[in-house]
Amino acid sequence: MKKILLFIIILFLSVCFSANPFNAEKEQNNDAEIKKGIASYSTVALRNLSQMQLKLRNRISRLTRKIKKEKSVKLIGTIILIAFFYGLIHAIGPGHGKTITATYFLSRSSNIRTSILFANALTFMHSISAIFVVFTVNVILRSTYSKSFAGIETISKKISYILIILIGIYILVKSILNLINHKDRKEQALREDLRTSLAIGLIPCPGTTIILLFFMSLKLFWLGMLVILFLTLGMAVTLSVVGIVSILFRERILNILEGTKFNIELTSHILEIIGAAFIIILGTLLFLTVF
Amino acid sequence: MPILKIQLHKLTIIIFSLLFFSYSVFAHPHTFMKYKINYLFDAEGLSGFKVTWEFDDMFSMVMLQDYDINKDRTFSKDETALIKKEAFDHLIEYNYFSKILINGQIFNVNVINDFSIKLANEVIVYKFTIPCHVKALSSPKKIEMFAYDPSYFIDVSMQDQGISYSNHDNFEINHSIKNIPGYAYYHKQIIPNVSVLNFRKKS
Repeated sequence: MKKILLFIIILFLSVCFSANPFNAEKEQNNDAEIKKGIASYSTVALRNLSQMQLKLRNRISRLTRKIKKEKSVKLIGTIILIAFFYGLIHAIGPGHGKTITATYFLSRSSNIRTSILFANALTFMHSISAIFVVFTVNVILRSTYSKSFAGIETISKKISYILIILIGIYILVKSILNLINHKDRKEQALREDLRTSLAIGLIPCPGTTIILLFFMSLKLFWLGMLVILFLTLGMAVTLSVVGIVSILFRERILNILEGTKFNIELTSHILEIIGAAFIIILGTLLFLTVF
Repeated sequence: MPILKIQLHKLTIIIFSLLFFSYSVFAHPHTFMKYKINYLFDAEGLSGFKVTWEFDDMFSMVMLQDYDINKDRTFSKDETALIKKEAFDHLIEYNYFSKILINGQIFNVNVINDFSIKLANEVIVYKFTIPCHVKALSSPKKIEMFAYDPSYFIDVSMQDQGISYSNHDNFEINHSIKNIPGYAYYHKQIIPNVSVLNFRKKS
């Protein structure tokens, strides 16, 4: 367990606080002028993340162009390995429903297997939506990405945010009823978890869309699909870590409270209600951003 | 118990890191763009900015696929006009991704000229001019400028050696690149590199 924790800490905090490995000298000079504060850390972190992503993406495109000239299993293997790491890092940045995932698993009793399933369902839905967008733009609308993507993305965002709000309301009502009736929520929990993850994942990932269109432009559709698969798996790993960390955190808190005068069952129900309320508020705020 | 306390401490840091990184959902960079600024001068003082945007390889290929209609890997006049209409003109709502301040006062970009687009080393390069006249006096005038996408859909950064000048011989110029926390964007998470130019008439 300690090793897992150490890995997670290194993964997230090194990204937050390390210097840019690709442009160290220049960044050090610039960062010296950033005042200490949350914004400065997030600037360095986001800059590091984006530089890593750019470097990995450029390597994918360079190797893909090479593959056009020489077919090589080794090259394909390298590309999908890079795609996996790209997905892993891509999902660390802002987005991909980490807030909702963290809130979801902080607020309700769950297990590691469920969180992994949740993460995979969410990220695969996220990528399937992106593939659907590419198909819609290219085959049905016969339009351009730049012209059509924004419209399709807005519609799917609206649907996804409404679903998130509805799921939040459903969980809230159910949690209140469980509290009143002293019921355990474990029955049908997995179905609820899957519904939530699929609703969040409904928004197409623009990054995936661009990558798939890039492969299609080089007439390498199936390699593009393979790359998307591994990229999605990478994103799922990151999101699974989010879920697992949240579950561990919740368990630790409840363990500490167990020896105190706190009523664990009541605390658990209250956490669930707060989590559901937070999901509703977040869904509403997101929905308002679409207009 | 001390071990438990340390683990809880670590978990707390991780949880807050996760929530901190995630609070603005579904909007991390999906495209990358580097920019250059060429400060343009005339006899009176500053006359505008020649801006260059260079997109990443993958996005460039998507644009090429969409708009290089005759597939000759160059952009004709008609193709350039189409890109401008469909994928550039609407950026007026976002000041063409440019934040410009003249002596601390915001300058809104309502007009751009000489828009051109080319493919160089497999990446798409936009070039355009922002007219902006600032008369030089004996006391210095301060220009601050940076490019940014407020939604962070595009990660925008200044290119190395990205600042240059044209026809500036009659003026005394002092330039620096600064991180100014007051100009932080995207929920105050990103502090941009700002090009800060002070110029005045040569005495």
